[in-house]
Amino acid sequence: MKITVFEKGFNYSQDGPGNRLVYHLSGCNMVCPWCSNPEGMTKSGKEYDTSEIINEIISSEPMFFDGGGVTFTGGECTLQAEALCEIIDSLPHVSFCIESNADTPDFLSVAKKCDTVIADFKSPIQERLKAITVGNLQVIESNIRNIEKSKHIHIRIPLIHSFNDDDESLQGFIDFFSSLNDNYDVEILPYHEYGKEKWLKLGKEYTVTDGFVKNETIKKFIDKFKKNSIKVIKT
Amino acid sequence: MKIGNHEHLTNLAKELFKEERSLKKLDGWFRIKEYRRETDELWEDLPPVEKAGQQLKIIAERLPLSISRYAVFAGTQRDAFARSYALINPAFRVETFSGYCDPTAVYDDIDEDAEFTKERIEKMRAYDKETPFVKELSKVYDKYSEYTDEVAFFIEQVTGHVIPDMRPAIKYGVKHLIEELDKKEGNDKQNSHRRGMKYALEAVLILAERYRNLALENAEKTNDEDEKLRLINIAEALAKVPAKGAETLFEAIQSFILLWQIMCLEQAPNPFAFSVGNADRIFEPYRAKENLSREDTAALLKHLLVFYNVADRSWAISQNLIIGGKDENGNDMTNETSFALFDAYYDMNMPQPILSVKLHKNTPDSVYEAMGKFFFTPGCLTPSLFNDDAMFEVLSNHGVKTEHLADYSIAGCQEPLIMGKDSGNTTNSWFNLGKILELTLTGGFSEITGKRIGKTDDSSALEKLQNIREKFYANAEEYASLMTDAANGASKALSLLPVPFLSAVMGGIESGYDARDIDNQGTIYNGSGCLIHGTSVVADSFVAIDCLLKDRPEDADKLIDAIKNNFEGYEELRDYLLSCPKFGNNNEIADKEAVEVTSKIADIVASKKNYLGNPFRPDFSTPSTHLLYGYWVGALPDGRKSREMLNYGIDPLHGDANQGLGFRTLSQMKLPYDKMCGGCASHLGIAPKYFKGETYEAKGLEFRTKIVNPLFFNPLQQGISPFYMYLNITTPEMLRKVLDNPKKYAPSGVYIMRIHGTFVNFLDLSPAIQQDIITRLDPKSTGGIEC
Repeated sequence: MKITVFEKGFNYSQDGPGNRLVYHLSGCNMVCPWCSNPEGMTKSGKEYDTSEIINEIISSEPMFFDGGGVTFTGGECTLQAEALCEIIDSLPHVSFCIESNADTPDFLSVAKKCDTVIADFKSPIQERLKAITVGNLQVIESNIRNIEKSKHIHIRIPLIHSFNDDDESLQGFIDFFSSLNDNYDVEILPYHEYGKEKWLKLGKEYTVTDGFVKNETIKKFIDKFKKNSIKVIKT
Repeated sequence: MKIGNHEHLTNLAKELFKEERSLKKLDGWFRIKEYRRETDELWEDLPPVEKAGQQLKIIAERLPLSISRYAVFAGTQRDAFARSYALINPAFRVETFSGYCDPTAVYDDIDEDAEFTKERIEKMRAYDKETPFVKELSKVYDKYSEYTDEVAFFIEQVTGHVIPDMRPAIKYGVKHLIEELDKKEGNDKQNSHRRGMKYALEAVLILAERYRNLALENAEKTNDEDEKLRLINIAEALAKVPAKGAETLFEAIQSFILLWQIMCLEQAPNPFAFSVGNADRIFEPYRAKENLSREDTAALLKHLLVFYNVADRSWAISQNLIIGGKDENGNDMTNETSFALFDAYYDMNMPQPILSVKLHKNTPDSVYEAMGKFFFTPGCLTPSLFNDDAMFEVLSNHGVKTEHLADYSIAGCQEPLIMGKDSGNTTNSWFNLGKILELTLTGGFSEITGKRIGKTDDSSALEKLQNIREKFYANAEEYASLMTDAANGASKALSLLPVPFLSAVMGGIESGYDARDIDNQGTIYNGSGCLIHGTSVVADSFVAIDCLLKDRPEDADKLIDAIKNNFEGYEELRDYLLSCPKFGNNNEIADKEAVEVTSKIADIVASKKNYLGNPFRPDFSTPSTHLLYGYWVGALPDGRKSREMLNYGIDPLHGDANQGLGFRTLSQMKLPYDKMCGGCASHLGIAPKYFKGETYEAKGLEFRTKIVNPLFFNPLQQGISPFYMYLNITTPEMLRKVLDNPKKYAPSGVYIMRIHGTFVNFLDLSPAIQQDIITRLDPKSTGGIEC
């Protein structure tokens, strides 16, 4: 089976615990204008046979000694769910992690096989989410709810000014998280522009003009979350 | 302390360093040469070791002495070194470097003036040229110049480069050592050598007495009460040490400094890479006895560190000091003095002495926390790191007794030797695999000059490529024999300059033999080093040849023409060769080849015997010589162009590993470290952004988790783990900024970078070496993923 990857390499603890062999899979179902990997939005990338990836993981195992493993991210990795499942099933002793937008039909089938699940929760307001990212809040909420029943999930909020840093969004986040089973934690990722140059290099317009979030806003979010017994962490 | 509080002593140390760096002239070494000449005839009939001992006494008697008004201790190394006679100096040019074949080249290093007239200099040079040592050494260089001119190999006589054990002399006093010598009885040769050692030890007593008198004289003269107090303190200490045993930390350091000074004077002008060993273990008993605070200890140690800096030549003295590590039972040996040394180093941030740290799997967090500030302060010196767990295994497998393992330390850059027991002749020979591959491919003709070198091979291009390994290893075997013959010749020549003082602190009192003797082993351990260059370019070349023969057999004939033409007109072929698998990317084929080249060459080198019949020690390090020797190597099948650098140490060639740190680490873990008993070198240039901790201490711990543990203490490592690395945590962009605007980024004029086993003031370096440091940061080989 084939799998398309646009970037790979090791990273430490940012994409799951320990030393991670990270594969960025090509293609995404969302179009977030702040995306730091816009090169992963299309399906172009290097095509590998899954057996090559499996062999590479096996030969990389010495790096996983302190709790590390393999992370699939993107793009949106669960768009290539079949290949992922094949790889994960072939290597039962390896720790796998996905970073996903949780907005795909195959999210659950992959997430269930992983040791660590990281999912974005970009906005609790459907209209805004759809308008800006073409995401579907219902699918995301349902996927998070379902996986959280059986598996701990690490939820990330990319906090973007004039998208999701207002009080209405804050309340929406609180409402959703409070309705979960407490098998999750939340991390706030304040807006940055690491990807801006990539957009320009790709000849694409970078449309976010006012994304930076004030420190007091971040603090307010964290404080409110904590007051509502929502576990906030920083990785 | 009675001479002032730690802040005051620190200020004095900083003034002392400033004063030292302002010195522009070093002439002590020349005077020493003259004293020797003047007494050569007088003691013509004395056996050589005795003569050397007597001459050292003359040097101690005659050398002009001074004590700075900022000094806390008496003593200096500056009379033992010439000003710029070294590889890494600002005037250095790769293009004109020709090794150290001429031992009288040092006379070019002294500026003529009214005192040192041209006539005086030339008279000394002419005399030196006729000395038995220079004549003998020159014969060796002449005999092998066919090979050394374009550096198929290089050899040198090894001065310095050992780790003396000063502990008995500090603890019991030099008079006690002399009594020990007097008690020993041996054969005529041993008796004579011991007499020489006795004279040499007496030399340090002469030096101490002269410094004591000078301190008292200066104390009489000065109106500065603070200086007077310090001078009287020196005089009081010198009334006791080094003749008798030290009891306080001050006395121990004072004793150590004069012992070190005399050891270096004995080898002027080349006492490079004498190394301290575990300074924390040497001095901790004295600190502990007084229960001296960390601050006060650090203040005194700052003056010891200043002692290691010689005039404005901050580069390449290569004297190493080590901290930390474990004992033979696995107990951590870090102590209060270890941390005082960290404090002293950080606060002074000087280019000498080189700092190394021994680590093991149970090294306490506090050591990593203390190292954080070194690695993450831009322009700050950084320690190189050694893995005790692996090093103990390697040394043990090569015959070092268990009770001596904890005393291994680093001479110079990264060569492991046993303190006080090991004469390793570490830099005796230098093997250039890149050149040997070139000559194998061309059938014995230099791509650089067209000259015939070694034996010729007129087989066809295809035949050469099809049998490249067999032909290469056969050539390597032959060149290694020539090289080690030449190296042994240099060691024999050097034995004409015995070193009785050094011998006395290297086990000579017990053995009765000079450490340089070529017939009787004066030290418990002995070997000769061979620095091996170009493993990964050779391995990658083999892989590229295989790929070409398989994928494009029709182009095989073209390859040799292509490398002879430095790929001009063969750009497409070069692109193909560059695209073949390369070491450093966790590629099975390329990594396997690198393991094989390393292993086979190590075996070839280790099969050669030195002048005492001991094996040569394979040392996979290339202290800037990857640049120098690369300059003499033509284009190679891995796609590397003519005259470009070779790979550094055991690292991939810059640019060849482009998959980031994890994959590079996996490749490097596969190498056969058990065969690298002479040492190895590896450099990681890592971007500061890879570390997220908010404090130096947190970053230090993060550094352990992300960098040290995977390489050094990885439970999934097959075989012996890597045991050495140095790092520069910076980016090429940052270093370019420093060069463009040194006043902004290095207002003190000192911006320290690691260059290989040593660190240097980046701003003092020649442009070629500065560029080398920037190039070898090689960010693609060490970066995290950029997504």
